[in-house]
Amino acid sequence: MIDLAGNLQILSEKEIKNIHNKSLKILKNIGIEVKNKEILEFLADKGAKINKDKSIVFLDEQLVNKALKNAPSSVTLYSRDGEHDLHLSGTKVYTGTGGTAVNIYDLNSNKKRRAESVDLANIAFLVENLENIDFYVIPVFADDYAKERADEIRFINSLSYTNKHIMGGVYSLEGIKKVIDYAVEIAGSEKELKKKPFISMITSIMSPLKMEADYTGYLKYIVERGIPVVAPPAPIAGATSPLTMAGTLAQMNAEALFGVILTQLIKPGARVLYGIVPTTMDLKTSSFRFGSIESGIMNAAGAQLAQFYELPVYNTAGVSDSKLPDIEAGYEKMGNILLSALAGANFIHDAAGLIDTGLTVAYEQYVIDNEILGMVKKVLQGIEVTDERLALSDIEKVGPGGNFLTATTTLKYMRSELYKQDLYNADRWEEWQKKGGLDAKDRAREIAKKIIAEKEEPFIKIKDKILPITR
Amino acid sequence: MLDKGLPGESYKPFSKADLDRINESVMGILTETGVEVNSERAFELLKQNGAKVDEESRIVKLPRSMVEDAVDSAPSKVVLYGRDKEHNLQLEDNKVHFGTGGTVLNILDLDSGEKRKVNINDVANIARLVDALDNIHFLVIPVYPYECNDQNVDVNRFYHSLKNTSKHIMGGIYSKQGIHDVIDMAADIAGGKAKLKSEPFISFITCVVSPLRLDRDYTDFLMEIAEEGLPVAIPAEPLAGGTGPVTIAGNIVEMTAESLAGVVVAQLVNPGTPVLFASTASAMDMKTAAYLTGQVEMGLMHAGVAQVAQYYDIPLYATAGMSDSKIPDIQAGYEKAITSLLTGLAGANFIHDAAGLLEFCMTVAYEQYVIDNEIIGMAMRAVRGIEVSEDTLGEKVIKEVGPGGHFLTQEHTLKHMRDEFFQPDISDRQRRELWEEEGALNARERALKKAKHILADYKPQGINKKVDRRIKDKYANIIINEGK
Repeated sequence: MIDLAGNLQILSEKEIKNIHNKSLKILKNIGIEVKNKEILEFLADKGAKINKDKSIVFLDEQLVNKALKNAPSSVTLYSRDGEHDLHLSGTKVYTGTGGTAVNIYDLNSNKKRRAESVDLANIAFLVENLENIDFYVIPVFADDYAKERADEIRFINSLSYTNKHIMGGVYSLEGIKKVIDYAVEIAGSEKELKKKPFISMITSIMSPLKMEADYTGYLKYIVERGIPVVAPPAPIAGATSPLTMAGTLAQMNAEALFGVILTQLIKPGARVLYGIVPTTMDLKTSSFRFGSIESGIMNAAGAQLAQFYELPVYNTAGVSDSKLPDIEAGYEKMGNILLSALAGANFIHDAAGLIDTGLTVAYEQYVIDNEILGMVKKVLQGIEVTDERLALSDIEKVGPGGNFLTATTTLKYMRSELYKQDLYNADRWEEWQKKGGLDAKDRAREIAKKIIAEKEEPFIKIKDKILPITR
Repeated sequence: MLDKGLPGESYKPFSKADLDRINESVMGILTETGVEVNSERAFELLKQNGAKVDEESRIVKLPRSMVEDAVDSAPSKVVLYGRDKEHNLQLEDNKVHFGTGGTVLNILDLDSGEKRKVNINDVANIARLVDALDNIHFLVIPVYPYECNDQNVDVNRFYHSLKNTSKHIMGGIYSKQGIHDVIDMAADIAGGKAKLKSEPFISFITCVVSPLRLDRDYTDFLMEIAEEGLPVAIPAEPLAGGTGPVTIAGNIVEMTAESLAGVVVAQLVNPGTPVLFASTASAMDMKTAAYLTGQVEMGLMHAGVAQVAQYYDIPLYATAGMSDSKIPDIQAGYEKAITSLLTGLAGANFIHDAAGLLEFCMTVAYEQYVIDNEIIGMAMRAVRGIEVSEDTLGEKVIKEVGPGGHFLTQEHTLKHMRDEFFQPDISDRQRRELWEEEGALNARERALKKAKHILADYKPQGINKKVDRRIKDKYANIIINEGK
């Protein structure tokens, strides 16, 4: 099979080098503010230049290169059933959910409400059953539990209903500990978990060029426990990074590299992804935009940068700024996901469920996005050119004016050459109207209901716990 | 407004070796299988020029040199003019332009949303809407009004379009007389036929029937137009699994052979006449035999076809941006986006059907033009890519702002804010509270509002009054429908 991922080249090699050189200069001359004393001293020990008063770290090229050399160019994120392992490297493309939203459109009432613990379990089960969603980045914050329990509630409920790899943002050191301990129990031992980690975690870097005290501490702890991690910066072009895309890439690349470098200094060889979440600021309303085409362009370019460093990339595509699953959601999601996938991004998160600039998810949106992702993956297969597929002998046989309905190639390839879309409706107008004239969103909601109705026993057991943890 | 004609060069599904193999297959078909030629005139012309013909079956086998000569003689650059210079389209290499397409009989009514037959006013209104929408670069006349028949439809479609847009107008045609009426009418507007020929603001579409058949009427039309020296697109429409091989590569091979057969005829009639290599290839629904327009394969096909056109160095009329959805819903959004982007990123020159169409290319909707104007704008922004320069890399401003600061009031931000981002028109950027206050409209409803607004207020350049009167006097079959 031809793999077209990586075929899209937004940046030339020279442009990549240009951006790389600027990022090096930023790391060396402008530096990163690290609001964590312990880490600051640790970095000084490792040879970084420090401005103590301003808590700024400067990394020279030598240190950068040394640390990056240790970072793995291939990271496998495991699934619990072994069926959905993600081999992140090169230009292999995997797509999945993202978060963290606070609202959800209720599946039955279709009204917007706060997301709750039960939604974590339901969406996990939905994702388990949608074939083009490869992993589960925990998508919502549950409003029905205190923030202190957020990590536990989010991971445990997710683990209860999907075997796919689970990644999540984290909220407290206590929470992280608890989640990893539960994962150890599920895996059987710490060693087993480290061998095949089926969970991973997201911390963050603040743009521009800053690491918060808490998140820096979380990152260190996660790395020490051997859990894969990503620390993505999320610059908003025009607000927290230069308005120009090239400028945002230069700054974001410095930030993303810093995250990777830090993990490698803590533990050489630690499993880490080069993470990016570039967005743009809307100049009319001053609100930030996730669904802008520039966000898609920068994410595709970011994948090229990661490929330059031979680092697996976590990037972002598929969040719509629309408040609902309308035509805008359709074109925004498709545009951005397609660009990232064609660029060969490895771990495209936020690619299912999210609307409303990331504040809201909708059950039907997962079903719709599963369809979008399937179409995009079909594109990655490209156009195969073989003698048989060039079909010269069939064209000769059929000749002018004939048809190919029973031609050899038709019978052989009719199932594999054309992508079958679940949501697609081939009815003629009259027939469609007779069946209620449902639009794609309505059809998707029916599919989501059907899947969730089949949810039964949780997939895991944890001692002394009744799962899932929902109210 | 985004520049049209930006180079689409970042996406290439075929390797050079693939293209060579495709070319060999195409030549194999044209020289060995041949095409059925049902136009007497074309049959004789091909025969005279050395093609191997079979009088009985009407099969004509083209010598390879004849095909290669035609490919050479077809101009590698075709300029389609607008009546305003700013609307000129430079079709060559991998320069990308997007516009409308058709031809359909139904429309979703602007007020009721109900599906109904297209009328004369719709022809005018759509042209006016397109004139007002910046990212739609040209008008391929999209509809066939129910008041007309094949004898008077050409002059009506072109007249009402010319009256309402100064962008380039291309259209299918339905009678030989129609071709000449339309050319005369356009010549009158241009100030003479020589002027029209040197800066053609109208052009035509004929077709080759898949598989491998040059139909009598359309081939005769093609020859008339070639004789006149006006630009013409010669699309073939093999449907994978129906009238073409089910495999994408095979379908492209057949389409290429078909369109090139048309190019050969046009170049034999008038060497150097401007032609567009053209594809409306897609797949067929095996159950309903429908022409599928929203399938991802259609996007892949036309990205591939863009490379094939670049291989032959003939400007390409490609097809993308349609949807099989009945209404402008989320399905229409993702289907249109994927085919438009793939085709644009591959550098197709004249991407038609990219605005307005729904339901297997059987219906248009006013609001859909407004929405597709946005999708095209986004696709063009992606085609434009990222400018990397000392200035755009922003080292200075990053230093100035430093860790933890913000860029909102920086000069660098102000300097680039107008041209760096695509400015959306109907996409939602509102905070939820404000959005709810304004009626919680979805994108389709917002687009509908905008369409109504344009149709109520927008005044196109129109046709000079004296010329207009003369045209109306000359062509009594022009239908003027004042009411709705």
